Amino acid sequence: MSSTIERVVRQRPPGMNEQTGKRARGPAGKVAAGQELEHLRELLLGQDYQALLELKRQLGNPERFSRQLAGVISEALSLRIARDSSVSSVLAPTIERALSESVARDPGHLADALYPVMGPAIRKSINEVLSQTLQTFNQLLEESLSVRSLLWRFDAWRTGRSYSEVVLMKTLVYQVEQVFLIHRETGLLLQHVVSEQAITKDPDMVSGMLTAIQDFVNDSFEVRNGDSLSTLKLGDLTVHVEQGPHAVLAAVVRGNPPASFPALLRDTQEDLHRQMSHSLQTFTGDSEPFLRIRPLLERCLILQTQREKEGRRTPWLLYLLLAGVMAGLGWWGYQAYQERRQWQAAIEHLGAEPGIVVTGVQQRDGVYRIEGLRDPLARAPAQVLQESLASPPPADYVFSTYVSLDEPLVRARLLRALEPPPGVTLDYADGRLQVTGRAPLPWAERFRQSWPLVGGIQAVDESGLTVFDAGAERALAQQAALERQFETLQRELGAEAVWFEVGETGLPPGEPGLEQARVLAGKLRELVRMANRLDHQLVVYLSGNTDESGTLAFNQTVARKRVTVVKTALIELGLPEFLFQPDNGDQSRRQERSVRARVVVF
Amino acid sequence: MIQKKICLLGAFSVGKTSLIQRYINSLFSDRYHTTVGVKVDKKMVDVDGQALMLMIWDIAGEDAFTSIKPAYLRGMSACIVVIDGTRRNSFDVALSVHEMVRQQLGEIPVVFALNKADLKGEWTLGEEQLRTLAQLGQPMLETSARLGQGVNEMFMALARRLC
Ligand SMILES: Nc1nc2c(ncn2[C@@H]2O[C@H](COP(=O)(O)OP(=O)(O)OP(=O)(O)O)[C@@H](O)[C@H]2O)c(=O)[nH]1
Ligand SMILES: [Mg+2]
Repeated sequence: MSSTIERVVRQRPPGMNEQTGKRARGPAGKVAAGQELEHLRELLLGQDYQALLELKRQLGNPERFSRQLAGVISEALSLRIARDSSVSSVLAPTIERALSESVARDPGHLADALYPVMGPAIRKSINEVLSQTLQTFNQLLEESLSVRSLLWRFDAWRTGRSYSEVVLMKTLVYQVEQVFLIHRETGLLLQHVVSEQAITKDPDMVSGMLTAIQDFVNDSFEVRNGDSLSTLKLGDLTVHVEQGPHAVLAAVVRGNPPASFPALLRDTQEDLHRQMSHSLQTFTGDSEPFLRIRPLLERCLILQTQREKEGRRTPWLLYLLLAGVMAGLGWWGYQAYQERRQWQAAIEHLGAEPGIVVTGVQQRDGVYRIEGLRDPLARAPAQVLQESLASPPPADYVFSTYVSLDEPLVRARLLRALEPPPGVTLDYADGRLQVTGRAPLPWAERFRQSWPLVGGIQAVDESGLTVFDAGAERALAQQAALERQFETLQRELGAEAVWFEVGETGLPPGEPGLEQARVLAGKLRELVRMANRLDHQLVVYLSGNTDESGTLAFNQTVARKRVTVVKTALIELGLPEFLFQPDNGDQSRRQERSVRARVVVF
Repeated sequence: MIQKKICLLGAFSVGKTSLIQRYINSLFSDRYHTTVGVKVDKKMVDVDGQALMLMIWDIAGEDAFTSIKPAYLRGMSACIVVIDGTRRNSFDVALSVHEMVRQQLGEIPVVFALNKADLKGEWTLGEEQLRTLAQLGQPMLETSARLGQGVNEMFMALARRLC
């Protein structure tokens, strides 16, 4: 469509624009002929002709044409752009002109429009430039550094010291490593000095880049006349720049130089300009004349070393400490592991102890809590632990009481409950209790009552037990002793007698006879008491004796009288009358005047 | 020993950095890293027995948004204006750059490098442009950083004019 219009427009004869409207209102003849022609056209072309006319009118009227074109112009442009680049080349000069016109009229408009774009773009560009140039610069310096570190290693090897020692020795508070004198205009290096330790690479290029950086800074930021870059910082390297009218003095410093350092640079700069004023102004690339100011520059290569500088020194003490801590931790860990193992073994050991059941072990804040059951007769857990652990850790023992059927415990309980007397042994195994030995009856009786209460005993074997009754035996022995005593007393009684004078039958007071009767009574009383204890029935026979001086009958009478007297005296002395049996008159002792007593047991 | 500062100028991407790389390190890369700001390099040359050190400033090329910073041109003894034969626009830039140099530094030795000679088939420079250049009275050399063609010669031509 657009191409059709284009063609129509192109083929249009010049001037047609203005004429189209006027033709209809031409002279009459022409009009008639025209009308005929018109008619013919209409006949020939019909509706198409009207449409064609309409189109023609549209094209002829700038306003209508423009309106028509407005509908398609962007599409047309995009189609053409897709085909070739003619649109941009046609538009470019116009846009350029329009832009410059706009700027000429009021730069503010464009500036405002571009502001959001320009700000970030400029910032980005500046950042990039700075970082790239600095990087290049940094690289140069860094490389010289690595060379220097190589030198240090070499130095260490040569002198047989450790590398760290050399580093330590060479560690600085600050050092001015290099000084550049740069021609301000060209950025060419006029003179360059390096400190002994420092090694530099390509001072010419450094000089050029430094100048470029300065140029860049001066150009990129609105700086007042005379202002310029004075320091650059890269890690612990600082580049101090002192500007002069014709030359720039730049010092590369590692560390922090004293506050007086910039002043030193300034003084040097002034001296330089005084001495080399002419050479500087006429410099064309020959740095030869500047050789003689080297001492001036070297004056700036100041340094201060410090052996004890903290930041650089390898912190051996710290390492040692760390190693110590690590070793300590390791040891502690090992100890803890060992302790744990021992502890576990100890707990097992405790569980194996008869009468102790461990049901749980917990550890909280280093204190163990051991829970379980314990027979009252079992050993104390702490004591058991002491056997497997030299020093058991602090622990709380929480044990409930129970009755254990473990053999050692049953045995202990047996001993405790039955208390076997000496000579009796209790053997317990597999639920069978065997009793052997001699046991007194009461114990045997108690044993028979108690063993079922002990628990854990299913059967008792008494076949080896002899039971004896101690009380009965003792009674017998006592009786025998009494018997013997009794007999002795009987014999003693036989030796006693109450004596009478010739013919006498009384026991007058004050005479020895009474006393003798009293002795006799004592013995008899003793014998009676014993007989009571021995459960004997006892009879006392009194026999009267006379000498042979009288007649038999008289003598018999005297003897009877004498017996009666003694008997009466004995009864008076407290002996019961029924003891005395009438004597048969047996006069066993013919030649004495006495009464004797004899005891018979029946 | 004499030192001289020379600059490579021209539109962006015409091959300034490539030419210097070729000249100093005998290297070429197809990859394009636009130069930001300046990169300074150096090269010792021997001109008829006399040592000359060229401090070569590779200056970021001109494009629609950045023009060459005059500050970088200060103190230069000569310059190489590089034109990319395949880009008409770089020719226009070369002319304006040359004009700028003349205004700032007066008549100093200039060499026009018609670079990318290896792409001659795609060159858009016509007779007319070459004539315009010739009228400036400065030497012109066809160079190719890719092939190394004309590079040494160009730097030597400039060095010779500096002594
Ligand atoms: N074929 C060919 N390509 C080249 C030649 N010289 C440079 N180039 C290429 O052109 C592109 C631009 O090269 P650069 O050297 O970076 O251009 P420049 O002039 O430094 O560009 P800016 O730094 O942006 O100003 C790179 O892709 C190069 O590989 C040449 O002689 N022949
Ligand atoms: Mg470049």
